[in-house]
Amino acid sequence: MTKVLTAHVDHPDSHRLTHYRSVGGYEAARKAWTSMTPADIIAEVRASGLRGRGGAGFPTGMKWGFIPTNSPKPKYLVINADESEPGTFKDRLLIERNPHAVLEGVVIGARAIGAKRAYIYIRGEFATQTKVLEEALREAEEAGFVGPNLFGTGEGVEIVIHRGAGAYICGEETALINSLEGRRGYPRLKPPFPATNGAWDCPTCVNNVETIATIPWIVNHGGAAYSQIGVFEAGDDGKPPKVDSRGTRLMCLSGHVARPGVYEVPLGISFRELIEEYGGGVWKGRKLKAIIPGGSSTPVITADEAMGAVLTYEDCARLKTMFGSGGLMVIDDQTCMVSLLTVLLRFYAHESCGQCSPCREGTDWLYQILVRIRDGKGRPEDLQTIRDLCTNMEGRTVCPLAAAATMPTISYLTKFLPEFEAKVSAAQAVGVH
Amino acid sequence: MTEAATTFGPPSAPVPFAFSDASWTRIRKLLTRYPQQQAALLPVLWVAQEQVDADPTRPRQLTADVIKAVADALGLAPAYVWGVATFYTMYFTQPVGKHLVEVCTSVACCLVGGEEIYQRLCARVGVDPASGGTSADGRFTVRRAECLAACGYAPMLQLDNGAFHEHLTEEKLDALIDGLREATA
Amino acid sequence: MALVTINGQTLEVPDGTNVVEAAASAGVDIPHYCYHPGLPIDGNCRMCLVEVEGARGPQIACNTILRTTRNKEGEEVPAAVVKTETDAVRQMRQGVMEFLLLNHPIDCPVCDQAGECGLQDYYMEHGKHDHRSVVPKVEKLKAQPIGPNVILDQERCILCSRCVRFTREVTRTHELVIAGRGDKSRIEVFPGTQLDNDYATNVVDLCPVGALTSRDFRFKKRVWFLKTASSICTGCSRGCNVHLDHDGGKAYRYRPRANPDVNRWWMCDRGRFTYKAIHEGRQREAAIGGQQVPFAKATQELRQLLGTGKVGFVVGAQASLEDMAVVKWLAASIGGRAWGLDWTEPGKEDDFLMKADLTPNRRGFSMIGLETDETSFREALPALSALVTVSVTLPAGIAHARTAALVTHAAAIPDGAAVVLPVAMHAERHAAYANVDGIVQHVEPAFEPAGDALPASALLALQAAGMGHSLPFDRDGVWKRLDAELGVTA
Repeated sequence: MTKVLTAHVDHPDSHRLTHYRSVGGYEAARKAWTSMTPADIIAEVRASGLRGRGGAGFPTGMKWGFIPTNSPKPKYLVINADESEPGTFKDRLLIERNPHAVLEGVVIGARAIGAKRAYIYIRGEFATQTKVLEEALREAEEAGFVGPNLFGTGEGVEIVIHRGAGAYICGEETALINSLEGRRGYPRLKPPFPATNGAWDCPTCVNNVETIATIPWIVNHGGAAYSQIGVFEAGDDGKPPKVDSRGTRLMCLSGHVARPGVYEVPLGISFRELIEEYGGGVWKGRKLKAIIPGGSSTPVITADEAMGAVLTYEDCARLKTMFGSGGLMVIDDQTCMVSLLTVLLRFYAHESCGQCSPCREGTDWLYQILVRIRDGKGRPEDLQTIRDLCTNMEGRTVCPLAAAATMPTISYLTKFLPEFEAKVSAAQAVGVH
Repeated sequence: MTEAATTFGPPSAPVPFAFSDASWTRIRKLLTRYPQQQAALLPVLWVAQEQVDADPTRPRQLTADVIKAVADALGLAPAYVWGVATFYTMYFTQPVGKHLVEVCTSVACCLVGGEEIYQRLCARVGVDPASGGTSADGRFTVRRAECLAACGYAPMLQLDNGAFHEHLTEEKLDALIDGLREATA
Repeated sequence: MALVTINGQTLEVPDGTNVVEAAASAGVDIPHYCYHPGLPIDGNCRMCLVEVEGARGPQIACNTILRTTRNKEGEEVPAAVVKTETDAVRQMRQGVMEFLLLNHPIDCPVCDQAGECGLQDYYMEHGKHDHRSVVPKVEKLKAQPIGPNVILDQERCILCSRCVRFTREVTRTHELVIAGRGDKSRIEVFPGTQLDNDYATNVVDLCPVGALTSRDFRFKKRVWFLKTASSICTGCSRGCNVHLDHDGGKAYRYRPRANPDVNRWWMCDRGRFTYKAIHEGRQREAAIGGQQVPFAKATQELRQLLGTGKVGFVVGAQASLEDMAVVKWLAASIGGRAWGLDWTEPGKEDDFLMKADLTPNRRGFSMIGLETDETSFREALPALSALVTVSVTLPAGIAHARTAALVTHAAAIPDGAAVVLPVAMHAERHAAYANVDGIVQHVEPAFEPAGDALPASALLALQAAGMGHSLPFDRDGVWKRLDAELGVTA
C-alpha cells in the first residue's frame, strides 16, 4: 500500500536532512523550481484531487489558483500548524518525524503561488516540535534547499516559523493571520477573503501541514498517480463528481481503541477496517457505542452508522457529519454521552474568542446547562433551551467556532436523547428545580 | 476559563524589567522577519517571558513593567500589548508557581482518564479542582488544558509550557510530582 | 451608484454604501450596536443580521457593501435583495438580544444610561424574551474611573468595541483595549495610564449601553426629562455641531451632532464642557456705575451714549453674525465706526478638530465687513465720544470713560463701565456663526435668556428704533438685509 507521508517515519533519523535526502528528499522541489512553471505545479495539484486536510476539505489546487498572479503586492504562503482540534495529532507526527516533507512542500507551494516568504504558524504548546522544525529549517537553509537562491534560479523563498501562544481559534485561517500580524486571534469578517486580502492585506494562501507535506509526492509522482489512490467517481454530464475522496489521509485514532495512534490510510477503506484492523478494535473487549469521525467539532455517529460507512467526504456527508481533521475518537458502550458532551462543550466555552455575541455568550451557556444536567440538576426545559441556543448560534457568527459547538451538540441530543432525558427525569424525581 | 479580573491589568514588579543584551539580539533578528513591526509581538512576548522565567529574582509573571518593555521595543501602546497577551493562554498574565502543570481534560483524554489525573494532581498538591490555581507553597500552578494534540498518547500533561508527559498513570503522575518536589526542595 | 432592494422597495445608493445606511435612507431601521458610520466595520454584535436573497444564510447588514451590479445583458440590477422584517429576522434579533443580556446586570434603576440605552430600546422592540438562564452572571469590575471624564462598568459592556476602535482609529491613542477572552473579555486601561486624550468623552456617546458614562453628567438628570436643541459648540472656531440637552432652563450637556463638513461625529472635551459657561458667571441684570438698575433705565442711558456723535463700537468674536450686522448698521446710521476685534487668548490646536482660536465667529468680522485693524481702533479711541462693547473683553490698556458694555458674563465688564446690559448667549436665541472654514451655522434657542438678557442684535435694533433708525431686529429681517447687501445667506 502506498504511503505518501509516513513511509519513512519509523526510521530513527527520519527528521534529519541526511535521511530525507537518502529517500529522494528535495528532488521534487528541484523539479518544481527548475523544470515546472507555477501553472504546471498548480495543474498537477489540481489533477491529484488533493483536498485540504485541515478540516474543510477544499481542493488545494483550486485554492492556489485563487491567488491573483497580476497583483503587485507580495504574496504569502502560510502553513497552519496550529493543530488544536480535539482528537487530532497528525500534523504533530509530521513535524516531529517528517519535517523536511513539510518544508519541501512549502518550497514548492511558494513557487506555485509566487510567494517570496512563507510563515509556518505553529501552536505555542508545540515547544518541542518547534525545536525539531527549527532544526530542520536550519539544515535545509544550510544545504540551500530553503533560501533566496534555489537550485541556481536566482529566486527563492524565506521560511519563518512563527510560534503561537495558546488559542484554538488561531486554527481558523483569518484568526491565524491576525495572530501572525501580532493581534488578538479574532477571525475576520469575510469578504474580503485571504486569497486577495490576507496577511498585511496581501494575497495569502493558508494550507494545513498534512496538505503541504503531500505536495512533494505529487510533484515527484504526478497528480495522476495520487488521484489513483482513494476513491473517485465522475459526475454525470459535467456535474461535480459523485465521489471525490482521493489520496491518503492521516487518521488519528484515540479514545477507547486498543492501538491508538496515527495511521496513513488510503481514502475509501471502511471505518470498520480502520478501527478493527489498524486500531485493534475497541479496547478492553468492549463494544463500540459511537465514534466522533473527524475531531470534536464533527457530529457524532452511532456504531451502526460507523460500521456501514467508508472513509470518504461523501459518506461522512451522507451521515450528516464531516470528515473534518481526521481525528477519530472511539467511544465504548460504557460511556456516558451526557458527560462526554459536557467535556466537549467546556472546550468551546474556553476557546471562544469572545469577539461576537452569539458565540461568546452561547458557548458558555451551553456548557453551564450541560454541567447542570450531568450533575443531576437538569430542568425539564433545558433540552429545548439547548436546541434554541444552537439555532441562535449556528450560522450567525463571524466564524464557524459556534457551529463547531452546536453541530455536535445537536447530534448527541438527537442520537442519544434518552440518556439526556433520563438525567433530567432523574433530577425531577428527586425534586431538583 | 481565565480568572475574573479584580483590577485593571497586572501589577508592577519591584525591579523594573529591561531586556538583556541577548534578548535584544533575538528581538533585532525577529524584526527582520516581518513586513510590520507589530507582527513580532507574539515572538517578542515569548522572548520576554523566557527572560523572566530564567531570572529567579523575578516574579513568574508578565508584570506591568514587562508589558511596558515589550510595548516600547515595538513602538506599541502597553494597553494594546496587554490586550494581545491576555488573549493567549500561555503567557503568564497571572502569577505562576515554580512549576506550571497543565493536564489535558479535553475529549480524547477524558475518555481514558484525563479527568482522574487532573483530580489526583489537584489533591496531591492541594489545589481546588474547580478552579485550578497555585498550591500554598507556591511550587505548583495547576490548570486544565484543552487539547494538546496528544490524544493517541492520553492521558497527558504539559509541564512548564514545554515537555509533554504522556501515557500517564497515577504512578507516573506521583513520580513526576515527587521528582519536582525534590528538585525544588 | 448601486441599486438595492429593501423589503420590496428598490432604491439607488452611492457605491460602497452598506445595507444599514441604505436601509436608513429608505426609512428602514436595522438595529445595530457595533456598527458606527465613523468607525471601521467590526461586525461583532450580530444584531443587524438580515436575509439577503441568494446568500448562504443570514448576513450582517453592516458588512454587506453595495456596489454597482449588472446582469449578463449589462443591465443594472440590485446588488442585494434584502429583507429586514421577516419572522426569521425578528427571531434572529431576539436570539442576539438574549445573548447580549445574558451577562448584563440589568441594573437599569441605578444605571445612568437608562432612557437612552440600546439594550432597553431594542429589548422593547426586538427582544421581549423571558429570562431563562439560571447560570450566575460573570462578575467584572463596576464603576471604575478610567480617566478624568469617563467611568467604566465592565459588567454592563456588550463588547461592541466601539470605544476601542475610537481610541485605535480616530484618536490613535490606544488607551482602551479588550483584555481576556471569551465571556471573560472586558474593556481595560493599562495600569498607570488612563483615558485622558482630548476627545475622550466621545466614547460615552459611542457606548450604546451604560458601560461608559460621563463623570460630568452622571446622576445629574434622568435623560427622559431632557429636551434637546440643535446648537453648536462656541468653544473654538471649529463650531462643532451639538445637541444641547436641557431642562428647566438649564443646560446639562453637549453631545456631538453629526456634520460631515465640520466635526463628523465628534467633538473635543475642551469644547464639550463649555456648556457650563451658559450658566456660570453670567451677567443677569443691567447696571449703571456698578449699581444694579432696572433694564429700561440702562437702555435709556445707552441711548444717551449712542447720541453723543462719534460713537465707536467693538464687537467680539463670541457675538453672532446677527449681532455683528446690527452693530455695523447701527454705527453707519449714527455716524459712528464699528470694529470687529477680539483679544481672547489662543488655546491648544491639533490636526483634528481643536482650533487655537477659542471664539466661534471670528470669520464673521470679514463676512459682515467690520473694520478689523486694531491699530486704527487704538488711534481712533481717544477721539470717540463713547464706546460700546458687544460680547468682547477689552485687554488691559484699552479703556474709554464713557463705555457701554453689552456682556454675557460679568467678567467681561470693563473697569468703570458707565452702562452694563446683559445679552443672550447662543443657547438662548436664534443665532448664526461662521466657523473657521466660513461655514455659516445656525443654532436654535434651548431656553429663555438668563435674567433680563436680550439678544444683542435685538437690543441694539430696539435702541436704533428709539432714535428714529429702522434696523431689523429679528432673525428673518436681519438675514433678508444681509442677503440683499452682502450676499450672505442663511
